[in-house]
Amino acid sequence: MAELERRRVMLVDDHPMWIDALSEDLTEVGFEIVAVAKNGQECLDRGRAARPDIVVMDLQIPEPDGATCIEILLREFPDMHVLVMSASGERDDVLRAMKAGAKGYLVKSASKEELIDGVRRTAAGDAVFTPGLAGLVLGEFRRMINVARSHNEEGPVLTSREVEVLRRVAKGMAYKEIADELFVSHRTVQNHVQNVLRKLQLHNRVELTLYAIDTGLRDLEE
Amino acid sequence: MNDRDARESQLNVGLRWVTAHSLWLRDRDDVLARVYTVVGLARGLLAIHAVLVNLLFVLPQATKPSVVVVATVVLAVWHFFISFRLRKPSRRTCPAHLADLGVTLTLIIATALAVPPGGSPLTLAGYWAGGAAAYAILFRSILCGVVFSIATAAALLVVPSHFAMERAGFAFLMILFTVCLGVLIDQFRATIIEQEQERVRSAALAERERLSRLVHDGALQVLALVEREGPSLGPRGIRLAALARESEAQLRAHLQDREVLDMGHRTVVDLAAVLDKYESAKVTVSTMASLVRVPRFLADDVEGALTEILKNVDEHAGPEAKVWILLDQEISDELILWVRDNGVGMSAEQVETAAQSGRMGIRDSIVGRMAALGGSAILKSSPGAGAEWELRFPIDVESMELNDG
Repeated sequence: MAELERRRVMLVDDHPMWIDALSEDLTEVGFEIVAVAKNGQECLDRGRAARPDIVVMDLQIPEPDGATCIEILLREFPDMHVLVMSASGERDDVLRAMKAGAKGYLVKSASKEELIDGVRRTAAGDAVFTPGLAGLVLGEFRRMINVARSHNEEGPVLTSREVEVLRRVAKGMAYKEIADELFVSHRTVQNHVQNVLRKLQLHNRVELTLYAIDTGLRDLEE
Repeated sequence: MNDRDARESQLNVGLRWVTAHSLWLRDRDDVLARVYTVVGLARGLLAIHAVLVNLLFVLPQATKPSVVVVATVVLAVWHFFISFRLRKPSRRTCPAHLADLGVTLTLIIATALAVPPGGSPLTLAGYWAGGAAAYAILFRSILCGVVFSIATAAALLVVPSHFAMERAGFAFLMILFTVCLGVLIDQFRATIIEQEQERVRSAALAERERLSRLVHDGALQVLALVEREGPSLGPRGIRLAALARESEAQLRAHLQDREVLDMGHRTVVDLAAVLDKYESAKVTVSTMASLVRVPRFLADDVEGALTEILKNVDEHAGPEAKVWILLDQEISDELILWVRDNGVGMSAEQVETAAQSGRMGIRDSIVGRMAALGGSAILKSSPGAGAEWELRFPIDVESMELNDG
């Protein structure tokens, strides 16, 4: 039911050929393209006007860049679901987009089926992870824990189950295979992945606040 | 807006004029040019001082005024000649410096012929005499400069009848200043070279970013599209899509190649960057975004084991097999590398026999390498379920931190 209600899509990409290909594939299976944007400014303007349920976006678009757009849009419309598609897979951009609240990430070379599946899962609020993204997120948690430790603070904590699941995603296993190997349900695997993403986004907010307090205090001292 | 543009362009024209006209004083690619300009101007002022002293104070007392006049003219002409000649790095030859010293010494000695004792306490070359040593220390070496200044000092004191306290003081100061200048120049040169390397490095990075944007906007997009749409065009389309997939993976790996960041640290490499190079249509590499610094020998061993594993996948896992590589760090002094494939897999007996007979590089190339690093290698595989290697190896945290700066 929920899936049917969430079908209004905005496409953000600076390449018309991609917009065409994507909108064709998505309309075919029942999504409605309510807006397209070819740069950051259009993305913000049209996103605000059309209020899509789902945003499928490329990160490398003319100013402001994709990750910044996600930050701004999700601050204004927290229940928009964003799926990132990127051709170059620049690690820092992808991480920034995920921390800003994107639900998932696909490489542009993903097949039509993978794309449609990805958009459907994004619509349903599920996290869409590629193996590369899982490895990236895992590494990011290791980094954040190290940083927190060096400040004598409690960092974000992944449960050993979450680490297990994330590692298996990064090793290219499908959710079904992971579920079988860990003797849990498909849904449980999905939930673990989602929790990881939530922790990443939550901790990003904590880190930003701490950073703000930190720099603010330093300013006062000066 | 236009107003500001106009002002900016005026400013630019002005700046360009200044730069262009300062070029007759210095060479564009010369790292020492800035120091040379300062030293040259200082020596020029000393030359003016010497000329004025010679004409106003020495000349009235001279026994041979013509010699004083000639010496003064020689000093002025030579100063301009040698200063312009040394502008170009290629013309800073040993003979030029020796000639500079020769002219200086001649002027000093000639004083004894033209002026009675006490008539010219600083000789006809005046304070300008120290310049030859300064130029030499700037463009040759500290040793050369010191030898030049000692030679000049010796000339100042060589005619006993003309000895004066001023000469002894000047000789002492000249040697002292030459040495100080030499030390400063050495440090300056090191800084300039460092700056230059830094500039080259950031230029390389910037260029790569520019290329990366260009490639992203063009080739990668088209390749990804071919890859996506190809299969719907029949068998030829499928082949095209496969080709596109391969090139796309190569290009992307190229763009993400982070090795240029490590130019300064030859003995320490980023293991994540090393692994990224293996990304292809068949191999997916997952690493962290941050650098994983390890000694080069460790990266070489890990790469050796990985190459062997990938070769095995190629030869034994079947044509459809795909590979996933994951690098993780659970505790700070150990790295874990997983290499999983979804190929045909092997039974425990097959693995056992292969390892014992030394086939597939299991014993030497993979397990042996890891053991030598103080780590371990475990293979999990069963028929039909692919194979998964888990390589664990210790990293020396302290040496990594030492190498960090």
